[in-house]
Formats: sequence, structure tokens, C-alpha cells
Amino acid sequence: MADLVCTGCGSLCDDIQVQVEENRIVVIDNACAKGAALLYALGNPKRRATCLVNREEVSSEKAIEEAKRLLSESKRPLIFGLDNSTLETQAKAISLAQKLGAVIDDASSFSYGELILSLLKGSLPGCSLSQVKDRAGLLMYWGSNPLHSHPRHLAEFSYYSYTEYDIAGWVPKATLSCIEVRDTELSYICNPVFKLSPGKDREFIQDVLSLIKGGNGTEEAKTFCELFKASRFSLIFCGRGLVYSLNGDFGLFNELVGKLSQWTRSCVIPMVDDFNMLGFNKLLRQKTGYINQVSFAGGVSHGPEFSFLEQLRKGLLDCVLIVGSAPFSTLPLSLRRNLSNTRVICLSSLITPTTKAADVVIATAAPGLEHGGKVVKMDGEEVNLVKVEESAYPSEEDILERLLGENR
Amino acid sequence: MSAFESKYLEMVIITYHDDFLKVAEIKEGVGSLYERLAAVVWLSPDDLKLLGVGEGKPVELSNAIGSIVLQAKSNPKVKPGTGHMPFSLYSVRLTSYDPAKGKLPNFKRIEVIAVPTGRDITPVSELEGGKLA
Repeated sequence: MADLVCTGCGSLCDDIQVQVEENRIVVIDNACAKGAALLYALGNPKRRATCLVNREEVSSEKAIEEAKRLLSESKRPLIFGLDNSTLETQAKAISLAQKLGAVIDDASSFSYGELILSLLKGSLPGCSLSQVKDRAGLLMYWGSNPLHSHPRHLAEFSYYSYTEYDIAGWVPKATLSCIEVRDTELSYICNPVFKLSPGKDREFIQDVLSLIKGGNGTEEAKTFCELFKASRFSLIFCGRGLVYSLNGDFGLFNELVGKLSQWTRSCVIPMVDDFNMLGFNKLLRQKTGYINQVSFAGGVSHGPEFSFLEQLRKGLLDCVLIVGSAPFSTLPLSLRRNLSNTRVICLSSLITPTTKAADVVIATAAPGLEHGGKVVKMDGEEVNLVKVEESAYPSEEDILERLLGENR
Repeated sequence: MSAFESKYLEMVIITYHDDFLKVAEIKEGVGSLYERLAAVVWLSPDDLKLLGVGEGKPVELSNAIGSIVLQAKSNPKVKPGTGHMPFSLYSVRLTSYDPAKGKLPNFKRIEVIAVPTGRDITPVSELEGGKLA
């Protein structure tokens, strides 16, 4: 059996074992349904992307040539995605953006960006998942249902990972709580559950802050404060529910965590879905000072006007290079229309709605299975992906190196 | 206005991450299983009654952005006036993005009008990729 780090979600579970026979996985141990589905799909030729130019199957060479041509002719290119790529690939993409004078952005610019920036700057306290196990007294999932988004998160890193866990007779060592707008599989096992009306997270935070500052608070705010007071070390796992309820503005949330830290060590971990979003944000910040929304046209510029969404909305782009991402599955309709009117080059290992819409598709090897590399987990820890199988496809890094070479 | 459209409800759709849908998408791509799992909205039994829609029957959700027909399912845990549906190609068909109103697209809390309909469930092939009209 070979060890493998699963790239199915942001948890990056490192205890997956696979048996490979004739360069094909025949047994998978420990993976969740999502991780197993990914390995299954990567082994299924019907699910693998093929190289295409204008929807006609071509050789890898021809697809790369066409991508080079489109990029060299482009006056307003943008590179998007990279949250499911290795740090090595991300570094190449940043170099390519520099050479092209392109805009570069990732999905954090319309999701976890501000939260991740606060963690990277140190204005929000973070910690590693290995510190959580056996130490944290309170595990609070806020706007996240890990049983669907990160199926092994509770078992590997939080509630069920504590050493005293025993199927025969287990007494919880930590309090498991959640803040949710609906009943979920998680909320059934949490106590207490803070059930908010949709979009009312900001009001709830204001209630808690008002109570902490000596004002009147709701019963729920009082219960929330008591939980944190009773725990010496508390974790808040922030999900998309919180991100979108706060509309990406984490000022008030940061203030709340600061106040809670007066009573207890309170740390925050973002429940990022893509396995290397933090890596991209960290790397781009090292190179430019910014985590996303960067333009290399005439030096380094940053701002919301350089977000993928704004560039699309304003119809500013004439060529988009998408690496390891599927925006045609997730973007609002108006933006998808604008994207479909732009030249799209897509690097992908699987067929997605984006590969079906792209002008050029370059099929790639899958990171973490067919090539190795470094990635950064949701808690900021660096993880090494290992190669388990040989691949007929080039890696994203190799393709970007070739595009970079020709566009220098 | 047809007999179907005489009843309608204004409601807020809450989207969520569905692992079963994600697994189907990874394993089989955007196809019939994806459609079966994604083209669903969970409504309160009271709202289903008000709309005159039976369990598993089609309901049309629409707003200024777009319109889709989904299978309506009953769930007593859902509050009247709200609907729950997995985040998918269907939900993004109703998602707005207006930076004057908010920094982020409105992925999670979507205002719609729900109307009973005799139309078929929107095929997923109408929603994915390609050059859009």
C-alpha cells in the first residue's frame, strides 16, 4: 500500500492508503466518499479532460501552441484559479502573470480572502489543527457543516479525534457547538446550537459585543459568552455561511475574537474548500504584498477593480487562463455570459462545465496523485503531496513553464 | 395568467454544500445523477400547501436574474417563507452580483418568487458551459 495525501477538500487528510497495480488504483483505504470519488474519477478515462482547441481534440503540443498564441495576442489577460494547484505551480503562474503584465486572482477574492488576510497579518489568532486535538475545550463551527464540506474533519482534527475517544464508551472532552441557519447533520450532535435567521450573523455578533461591553444581551449572546468563559482554549471554524452572511467584511468578527481572547485563548481556522487556497494567498503576498486581486500591468497594482468578478463584469478581459478551477460551475449567470464571450484557456485534469466551454483545454496530471509538490493546509501548515502514479499528462507546472518560456 | 401561476410565494432560498451532489459531480460529471440531486428545493409543508404543490412536483423559482424549475420536496424543519437547496448550477442561475449592493455575489440567501408549474424540471444541459445566450 502507498500513502497518499487526499486533495478532495481543504482537510488534506494524510492517512489515505492506496494499492496500485499496473499504474492503477485498485484499493483505497480511509478516504471519505469525496476523496474516493476523486481518485475513482482520475482513474476513469471518460472523466479525464482531453486537449481541445475550439472543441476539437488535438495533441497536447497543439493545445499548448494555441494557448501561447492566445496569450501573446492578448492585451488584457487574466490568470484565475490556482487554489487546487501546488505552490510550485502557483509560483510559475505568478511569474507568467508578471511576464504578461496580466491580472492574477483566485476564488478567495470572493470568499475567504479577508479572513485569510487577517490570519496572515496576525490580526486574527490562528493555530494548527494538531494543537486542537486533546487541547481545545470548545469547538465552534460557524456557518459550516463539515460533514458535507470536509467529511473527515471532525474525525481527524476535532471532536472525534481526541485520544479518549472510544467507540465502546466515550465521554466528550470538548464542547461541540455550531452557529447555523438551518438544521444540519452537525447541529444534531452539537450542544448548544445557535440557530440564527439567515443573514443575521452580524446582528448576533453585535449582541455579543454589546453584552461584553456591559450592555444588555440576548439569552443566546449570554450562552455564547458563557461557553467561551468556560473553555481555556476555543476554536472557531469559519465556513462559507459566515463569510457570505458578513458579505466578506470581517471587521466586527475580528473585534469579537479579540474580546473573547480576554477570557480564553480563541483561535480561528477557515474551512476552505479548495486544498491550496491559503498557499496561493501566502505566496502572492510574499511576492507582491497582496493576497489576491493583483495586476502586473505597469508594476504591481492591487484593488477590488482587479478582482476576477469585476474584470468580468466590466468586460475588460480578452483572454482568461484558468488553472485547476471551474468558474463556469460557480459564477453568477451574468458573469458566466461575459466569460463565455472571452477567450478561455483551461488547464484541468477532469472534464467540467469550464472545460466544455473553453476555447483551449490542456489536460493535466492530477496533483497529489500523478505529481507531487507542496501545499498549505487550512491551518497554515505546509504539506508535501506525493506522486503515486505515472501520468500520460504533463503537470500544470510543466505547462506553465512552457507558456512562460515562450512569453518571456 | 394560467391556473398554475395564480398561486405564488415570495421566499428566501438558502443554499448549502451537499456532499452527495459533489461526489456525483466528481465521479460522473454534470449528468443525470447531478441533475436529480441538484434540481431540488426543500420547502415547509405549509408553503407547499399554500402553493398547491404536491411532494415531488415541479415548482418554478424566478427572480430578476433567471428562472429554474425544480422538484419541490417537503421538510417540516424548513421555516415557512424559506427554501433550502444545494449550491449548484441551478442555484447560480438565480444568483446576483452587484458590487453597489454587496462585495460578494449573493450565493447563500437568494430572494425568489415560487410558482407552481406544469413545466418539466430544467435540464442541467441548459445550465452548463457553452456559449450562453
